[in-house]
Amino acid sequence: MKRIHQLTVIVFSLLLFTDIAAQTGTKEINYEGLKIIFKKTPKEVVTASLFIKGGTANITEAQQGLEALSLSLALGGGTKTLDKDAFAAQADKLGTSFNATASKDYSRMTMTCLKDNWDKSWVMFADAILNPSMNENEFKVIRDQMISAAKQQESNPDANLRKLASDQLFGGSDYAKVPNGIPSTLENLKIDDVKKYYASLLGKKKCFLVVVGNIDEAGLLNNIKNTLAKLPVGSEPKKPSFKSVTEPTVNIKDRAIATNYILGTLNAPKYFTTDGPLFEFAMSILYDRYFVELRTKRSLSYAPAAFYSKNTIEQPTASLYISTIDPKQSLQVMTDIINDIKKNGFTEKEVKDKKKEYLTDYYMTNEASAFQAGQLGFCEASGNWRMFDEINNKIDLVKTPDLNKTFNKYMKTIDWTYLGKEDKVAKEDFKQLAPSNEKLPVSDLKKTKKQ
Amino acid sequence: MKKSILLFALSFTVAFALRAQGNWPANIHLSKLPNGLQVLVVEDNSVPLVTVEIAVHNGSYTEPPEYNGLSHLYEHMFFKANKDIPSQEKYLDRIHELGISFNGTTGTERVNYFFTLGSKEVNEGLQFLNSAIRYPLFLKEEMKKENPVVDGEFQRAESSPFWPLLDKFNHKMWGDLFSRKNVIGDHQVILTCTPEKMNVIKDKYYYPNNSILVVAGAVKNDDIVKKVTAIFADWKPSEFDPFQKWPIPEFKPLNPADSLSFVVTSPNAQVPALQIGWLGPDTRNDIKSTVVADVFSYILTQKNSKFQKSLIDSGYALNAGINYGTQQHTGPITLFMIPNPAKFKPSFKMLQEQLNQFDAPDYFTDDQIATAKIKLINQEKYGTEVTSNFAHTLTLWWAIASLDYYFNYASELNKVTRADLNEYVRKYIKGKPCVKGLLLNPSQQTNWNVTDLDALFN
Repeated sequence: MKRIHQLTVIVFSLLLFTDIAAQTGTKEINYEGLKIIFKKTPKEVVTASLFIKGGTANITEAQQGLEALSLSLALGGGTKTLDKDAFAAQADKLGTSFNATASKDYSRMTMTCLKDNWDKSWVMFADAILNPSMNENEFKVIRDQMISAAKQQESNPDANLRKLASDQLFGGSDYAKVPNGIPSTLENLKIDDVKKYYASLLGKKKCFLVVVGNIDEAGLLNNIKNTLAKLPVGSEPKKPSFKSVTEPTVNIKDRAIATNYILGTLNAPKYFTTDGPLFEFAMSILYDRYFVELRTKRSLSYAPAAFYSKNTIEQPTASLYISTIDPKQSLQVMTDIINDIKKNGFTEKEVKDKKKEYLTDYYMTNEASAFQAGQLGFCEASGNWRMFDEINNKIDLVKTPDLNKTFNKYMKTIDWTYLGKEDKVAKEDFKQLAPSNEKLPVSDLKKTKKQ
Repeated sequence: MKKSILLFALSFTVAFALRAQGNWPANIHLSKLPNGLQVLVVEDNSVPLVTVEIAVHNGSYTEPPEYNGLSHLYEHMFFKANKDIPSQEKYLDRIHELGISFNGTTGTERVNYFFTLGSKEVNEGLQFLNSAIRYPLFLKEEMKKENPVVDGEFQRAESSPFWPLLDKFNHKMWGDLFSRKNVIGDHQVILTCTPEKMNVIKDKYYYPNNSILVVAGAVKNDDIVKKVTAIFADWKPSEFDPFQKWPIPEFKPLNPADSLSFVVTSPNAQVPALQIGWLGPDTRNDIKSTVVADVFSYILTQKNSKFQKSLIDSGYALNAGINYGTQQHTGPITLFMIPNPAKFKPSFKMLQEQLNQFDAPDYFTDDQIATAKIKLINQEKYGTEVTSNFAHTLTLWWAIASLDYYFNYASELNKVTRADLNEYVRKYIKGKPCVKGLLLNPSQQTNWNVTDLDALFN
């Protein structure tokens, strides 16, 4: 009974930030030019993440994967004082893990440790960031693993579907680049490329640190004093270039697999705007409608979904997703449901119930230091980390008419991508939405019967 | 006389605490209702949430071929009409009203259902759970609609490039008892399932004395025990032990005469993948080895282990590891490797060299043994951080071993010696029959001319 679950965050107004941060224990500190977001929590696990802004804007097309590889090598290849085996053995003994991730707008170097081992783990983390050995053998190992992972992404239907959709929408812009690289670019990367790139990557203007855990502020600052506070000022972060959906498009890729995968993409508002959180809230209700109509009532899919994809910060998207053996009918119903909402709006009960679900999701996010660090970092990269902590105070302010207005404003043109048996669909099956404030097309939801 | 009757009555309605809780954390309390329902309360006030979870000794291990996949289908039907809620739509309405995050999972030896919601509404959550677990209706129309949904989950699994390898591998591992380890089931069985079959499962396994209820979050044990007693005490227990009445058949040893090695191709496979499997220990017959197996696996994950250095650092493989899956009924030991295409054939010989040395005196150091234990203990500490997930961890160990096994795990780990590790290797791995499967795409098979997998190891 897996239900695709989204951890969602809502903020109604961006103009009403108050002292809630102090109440929730989150604090922003500027320490010698380095921005630190620190949240004290009661649990035993501590997460520290150094965020590096820029993402796909930092690399050229030929460098796809370079930043991710550089960060992974820094954290996994040992330091100038501890070779990679000694580093890994010490981390194992402490129960501390290090990992690097890269996304379209930023990258992250993360350390997760137990509270009791915080100081020792920090020393390792800072040493890996500031004094990585950039071991050549480990470089080859990580690069080859990334090539293998990239190939596996191509064969994974969901990953490949997302890649096809991203290429279709963002082709020619920074957002079309794959942060973890593609086989052809990874194969050409050399150790010297990595060393040179990493040497000029980190800087206080481009980076900020998020720490979530049951540690004290003075101890944290003391640890930073002789380590990350020494980072150079560096250059201003860049923002990735992007493209938007401008006209109806259909991209069909034939693949002989057991079911068929579909992703519809529409333009959505930026998260750090009044519309962003409202739209996310609306998409969450759309998800529920898809679940009921496509799965429960019509048995068209195990995994229908609709969600706000905010991870391309400069151009978020609305995603309409399904895996199905009946793509024709599914496509019809997916658009009919949206048309129905555009015509009749969300119900007051849906809005009331969704507020409650949001609270549950919010507190579930607050159960883990890693979730919180991720959300705080995302909000900061989007505009302001306080967005994360504001939810409890703002959630009740969502009004149904505002929600309907925001939904209609953005649910316009769909860019469709299909991966599956080509003979199961025709281009005309990929419907577009009825214009707002106009009569619905013939295929009104209530008239659509299961075939 | 009147007094004694009253005491008698009380003994059937009041839960009693089960233990002094030696190695148990102070915030975890176990009770048992007179009908046999175990109630585990985890007190954690860090967020104002509660997770209510019920788990049942059920899963594919109870399924003969004609029922294969139906524990999973049953799990889906839990989220549909019951005596208090007339349809799935109304069921989902109630989920939304209570702001619940919900799910269920089916494994080989456990089925669990869980709701996370605001802790102030724990009573509503318990009532909701009670209606679903005790009074499902299995409406014909709802089943008809759910069968293809479950089959759709199956089709998604089949769309994975690794499916051909895993499916064939599991058939070889479990032979004519394949259904007992095949959670996803059989297409035909799923698509033709009727409410009658659901009721057969219910009448066999869905009893309080075959279940555990976990309530985890911002709650107090005493209060929860009262609430649970009020709601669940009249759930009638079974008068039989389902596992005595319908015993789980024992898995037969692998027979080398059964062509245990194979090569399978898929046009969607981009990287070669090797999987080797042995029949390992289980918690009924060799509980000590189940702990030793974990230590051994964790030695081999360490970057400075000979296993990793010989295969990964030397460029023979891109990924390699070994895993033991704890079970009550024959846990599998699984070794996987992604050979480096640049050293495809030599990688198998290098792997064989490692297998030959698994019990050699210098294959791992004392320090690596100690580190493996620390890693396992720390992993359990991390597992307690997210209380809503920790509830799942607890019911899993309840199902596949016991709660005492879980809470005593760290002390048992610390007893593991080098001699234990060598004994485990010799008893279950080295020289023992194993299943070997290799996944390639057709052009890789042609280019590398692979037809006999065993020949690659020699």
